[in-house]
Amino acid sequence: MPKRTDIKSILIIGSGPIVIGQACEFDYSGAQACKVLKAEGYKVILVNSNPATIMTDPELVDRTYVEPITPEFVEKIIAKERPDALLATIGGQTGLNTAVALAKEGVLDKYGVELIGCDIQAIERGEDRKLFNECMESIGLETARCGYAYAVADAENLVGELGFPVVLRPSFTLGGAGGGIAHDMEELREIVSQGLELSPANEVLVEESVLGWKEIEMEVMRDSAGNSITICSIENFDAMGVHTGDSITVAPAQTLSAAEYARVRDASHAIVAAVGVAAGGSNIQLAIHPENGRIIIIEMNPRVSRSSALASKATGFPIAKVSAKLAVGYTFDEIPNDITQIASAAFEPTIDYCVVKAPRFAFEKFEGTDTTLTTRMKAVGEVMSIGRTFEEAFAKAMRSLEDGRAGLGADGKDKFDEERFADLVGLPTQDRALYMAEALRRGWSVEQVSKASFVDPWFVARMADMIAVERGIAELPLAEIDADTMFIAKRFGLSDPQIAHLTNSSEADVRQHRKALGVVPTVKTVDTCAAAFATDTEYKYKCYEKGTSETTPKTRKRALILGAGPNRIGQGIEFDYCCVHASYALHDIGYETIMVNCNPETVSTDYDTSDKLYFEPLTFEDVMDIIDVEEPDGVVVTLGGQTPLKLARSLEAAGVNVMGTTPEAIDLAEDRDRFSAILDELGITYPQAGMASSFKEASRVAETIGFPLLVRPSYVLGGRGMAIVYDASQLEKYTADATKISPDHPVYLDRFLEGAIEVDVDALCDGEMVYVGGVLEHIEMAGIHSGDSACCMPPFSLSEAIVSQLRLITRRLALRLGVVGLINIQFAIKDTIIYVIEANPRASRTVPFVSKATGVALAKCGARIMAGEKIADMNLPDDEKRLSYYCVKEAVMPFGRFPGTDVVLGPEMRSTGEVMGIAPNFPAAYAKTQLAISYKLPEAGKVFLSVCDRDKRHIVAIARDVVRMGFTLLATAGTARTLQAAGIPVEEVKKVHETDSTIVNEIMSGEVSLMINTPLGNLTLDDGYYLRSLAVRHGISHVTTLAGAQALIAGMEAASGAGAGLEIKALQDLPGL
Amino acid sequence: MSKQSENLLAQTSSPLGARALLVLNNGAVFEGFAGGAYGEVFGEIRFDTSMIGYENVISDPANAGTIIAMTYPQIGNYGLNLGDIAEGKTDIVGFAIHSLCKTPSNWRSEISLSNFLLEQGVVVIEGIDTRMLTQNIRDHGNVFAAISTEDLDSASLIGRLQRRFGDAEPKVSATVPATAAAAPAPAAPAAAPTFAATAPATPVIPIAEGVE
Repeated sequence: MPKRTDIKSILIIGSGPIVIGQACEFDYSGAQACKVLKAEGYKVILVNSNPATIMTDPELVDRTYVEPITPEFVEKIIAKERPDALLATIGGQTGLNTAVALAKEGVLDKYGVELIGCDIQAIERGEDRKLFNECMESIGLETARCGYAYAVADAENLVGELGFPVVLRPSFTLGGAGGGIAHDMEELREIVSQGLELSPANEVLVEESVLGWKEIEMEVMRDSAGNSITICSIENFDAMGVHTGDSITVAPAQTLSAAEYARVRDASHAIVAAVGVAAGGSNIQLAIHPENGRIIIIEMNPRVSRSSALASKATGFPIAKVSAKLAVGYTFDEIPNDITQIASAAFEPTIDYCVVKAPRFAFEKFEGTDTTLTTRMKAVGEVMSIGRTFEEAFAKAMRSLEDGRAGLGADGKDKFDEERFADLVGLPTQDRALYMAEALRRGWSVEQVSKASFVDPWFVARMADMIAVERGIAELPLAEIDADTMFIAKRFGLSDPQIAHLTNSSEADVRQHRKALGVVPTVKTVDTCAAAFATDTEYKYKCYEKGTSETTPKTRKRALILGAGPNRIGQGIEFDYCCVHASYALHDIGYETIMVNCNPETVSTDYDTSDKLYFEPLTFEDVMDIIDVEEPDGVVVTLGGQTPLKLARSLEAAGVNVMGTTPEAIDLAEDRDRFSAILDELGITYPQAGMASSFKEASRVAETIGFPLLVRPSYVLGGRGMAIVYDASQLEKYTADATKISPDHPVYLDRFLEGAIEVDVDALCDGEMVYVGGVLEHIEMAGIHSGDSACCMPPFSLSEAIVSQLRLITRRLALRLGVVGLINIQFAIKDTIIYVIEANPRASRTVPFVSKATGVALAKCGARIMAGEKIADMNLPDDEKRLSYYCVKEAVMPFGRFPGTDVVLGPEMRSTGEVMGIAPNFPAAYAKTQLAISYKLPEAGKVFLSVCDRDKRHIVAIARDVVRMGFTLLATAGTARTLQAAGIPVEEVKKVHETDSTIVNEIMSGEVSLMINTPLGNLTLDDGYYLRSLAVRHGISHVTTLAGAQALIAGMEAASGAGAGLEIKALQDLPGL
Repeated sequence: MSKQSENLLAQTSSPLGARALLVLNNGAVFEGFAGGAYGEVFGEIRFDTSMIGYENVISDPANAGTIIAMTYPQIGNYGLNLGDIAEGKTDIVGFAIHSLCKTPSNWRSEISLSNFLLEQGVVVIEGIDTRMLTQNIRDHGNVFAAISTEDLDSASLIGRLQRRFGDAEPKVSATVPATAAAAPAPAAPAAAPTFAATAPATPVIPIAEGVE
């Protein structure tokens, strides 16, 4: 069937901010869908609240709405744009849930909008456990024995029949949020009561446990003619019981025989037909009993998913692109296969390599939370790697994680909990693969390791081979290793740093010796067809092979762009956005662009984003191997965050041309002594600072500078290990535990500017001229990590005089440092004095936000400057003109995923993503950000106030506003006294532990609709900590800073409820500068 | 391969077999190692792109008498259930792969693929770049090949292959008797415990003489 001509315009719903369980894979799929539908001639309207996405680039579609993805706002967009159709299957669970809500409320009918790709019944059959189980039964497939609980008592009854352990899954939640495995009554009660609260349907599925079974995923697509094809099979290394997002996974499936695979495949195709996926991609999860082959269907997602993004990257088959085409009526035979050009999309991809995905965690940021992996996803990112064998791919994945490890252990950084060693070989945690490897080193058999971990013996046997090779290498001096042996070591995945550790030599020596032996990697191609057809695709990976490389001769200048690696806290999609923009810009000015990255969720690793793609780890070894093959004219290291930046020096030393800002200039900004010297030279103020290698030294520094102090380890990203200390005893505690202070690892101590306003400036510099892209005023005061702080542009409280001073300092500093490209400077303003906190001569987290707000594509300009262009020739709008609207960026915190961790914002970054709100004034823009994170703005009820002494004076005005808006007040004794003194009616509440205290009940029953609790420093006030955690669990709005409270209350007034008072505006309609 | 590397691999589940050679009648040479029976086989070479399902490929009657190259690199991962193999036998004569798994894992597996191929007298070459091989077969059309653990002189092996099948227009593969590989083969050392006692002795030449 050809494409439909009865629909002219299509609304696409994106997935909103990056949260755990829903990351940038939906930008990847969404951007593909937007591009293809636009190319097909449809008018495309997009809504997504996440400014760091490629899909929200205004030139990509016709109408771009950076607005909250809530039924209320999407209805406003529908009313204004009147689209003919809605494509909801590429925006993750958020997109799907919003579409379901709109359909149920009759909005789609009211405006005559047709849901394409999947109908409501199919979505419900896919998502509602009960309907799904009935549907599976109707086609003769088994699901786990189960029942539904609508109250804790229901669950208790069900367990009587099923026995422990049971798997608990709340219906309709994201990434399995609120789910878990209960081994006893206590766990059952806890998880079920949480799950009931989280489930929009107040329903929790209680299921027989399939712990330890094999977990298989199938990516299947279906067209409107009822044809279905398999894109990819994926086998999980971690058995059932660990969320697939937290599992190491392998494609294709390794341990299924043809007969088993046929059953799995037939079942998958029957499922998409029975559920009724109209046209598009689906993901199906199955469990297979390892000893009798019994198959149980776990779940299916009738939409593109994290796994489909992975399957696309693993096979080269563009699932989202094809899904979008199928949704507008095409059938497989009408869609050409992009890569082979010969076959149609009906040709099922086949691969001749092994793909491994490994999750990236960030538990170190969430002290106090349980780090065991369960059915509730906790990973913040992932890496993918490609090798000719599992061994090669697995080892690559293990060194791609950006966690300081060079592979599967054996890198000098192994550290094991000896007391719990045996347990940790079996217990799923982020380190389990390392424990399994170590167990094999210590003489455990493959069977023992497999039995303890439930990991299939096949995988363990491969690991055992890797360990055997590792052991053999360790017995040889480097100089004696011959070419054949080196080749085998590489083929079994050992990295140069691992070989260096094993042979007691240096990475440089290993590399030199290896190259002298002629042992260099071979480049192979991802072509969807295992070389059955000739292709000219430029999607590459490295491997150690006897054959020849598939490379193309250089015909024009080449630029290598180093990506950002796995998403983690402090380094997310923003940097990928910058890399993608650089690739577009450099391509446009005549470069052949080559992207290197290992993150399968991103747009940068789409095979047609750059002229050539290497799916490889971002280590020195891997990058240099690519450079040896491709001989680029320049390498871009300043757009992918800290990952590529830290390679700058060594690449330069290896004779590579680093484009733009030189490694020397980078060092000038990063080395604190050299940077301070420059600030002194320019007469720029900065907070007094010192460095200490021991507590004694630290105390001396503290005496000179005075408290409070901001203390941090010398080399950090995302504020890791950073803290504010208010007195000597806190300083002692800090130096004693968290950071191992030593001469090699000194600690920095800065005067902490309490109550200062923080400002970020993003600018371009070409060595002659500076262009200030944006001045962003933070809402939270100094002391909150800039990544966790909301910010607003233009500044809402700074005077023109201050802003022009900020611009002046930016210009002088950028020129003095010798920046060629992008720079970000962080300022703090206290008592009208401007302090420079730090300067980063690279793309910052805020570049995409600033670009969306102003329409100036900063990353593209930065890349062009690196290639030698001048700002003066770029026709940029005047950078001093003030925006006529306000743009607010707010951080999205993952606290709901990490119960037990304190939610107070601090100098250590913990947010996973961001949203943007655009409005004519600051409160309205701020309110939009809150709604976009799907915080319900409190409308009525009680407000609980408990503030520290510092904030007592300022709470009065806030309290007055809250009372005026019709709320009643509860406050702790001290705060209540302040309010009573000001004549504000308030009810004093007793401490939690006091016998007749009612505050806990009032929070749990939902009477309290807003909690404002500002602790001072990092003193954990037991009550405060407990109440804040309670608020997170019960989804009650809570603020931990006074500035945040002010903004929220202004926003509540502007929004009047769910956003009735807020207007929508497309990016294309924003007045130009 | 060097003695040092052989010692290294001897510690893994896949010690190196004897040296083996795969040559094509268009002159391409692939050096690898024996993974099944020792000997020398000639026949049409075909590639198969199944990622799962080698048991179907080797038991497909249409593949009788041929040398099969698998494009997926790791073959034999889930072993073999003889019930999945028609008549419990294979009629392919040669098997060209990247690596052969000696430690399969699957609840239904009765025998490892490597032992099965050994029992069936299939001459296996592993450790070759099967992607490059596939590209060669794809680009040349009907290609004939020889795998040998006996004649490691590529010029000599290519010469004999070309005399048999020509270097441009290969003859039809039906002239290769399907029963050629029926004779039990001597074992490769350390590859199969059941045959470990038998040292490799007489070369197996499963191709009937007089094809030309």
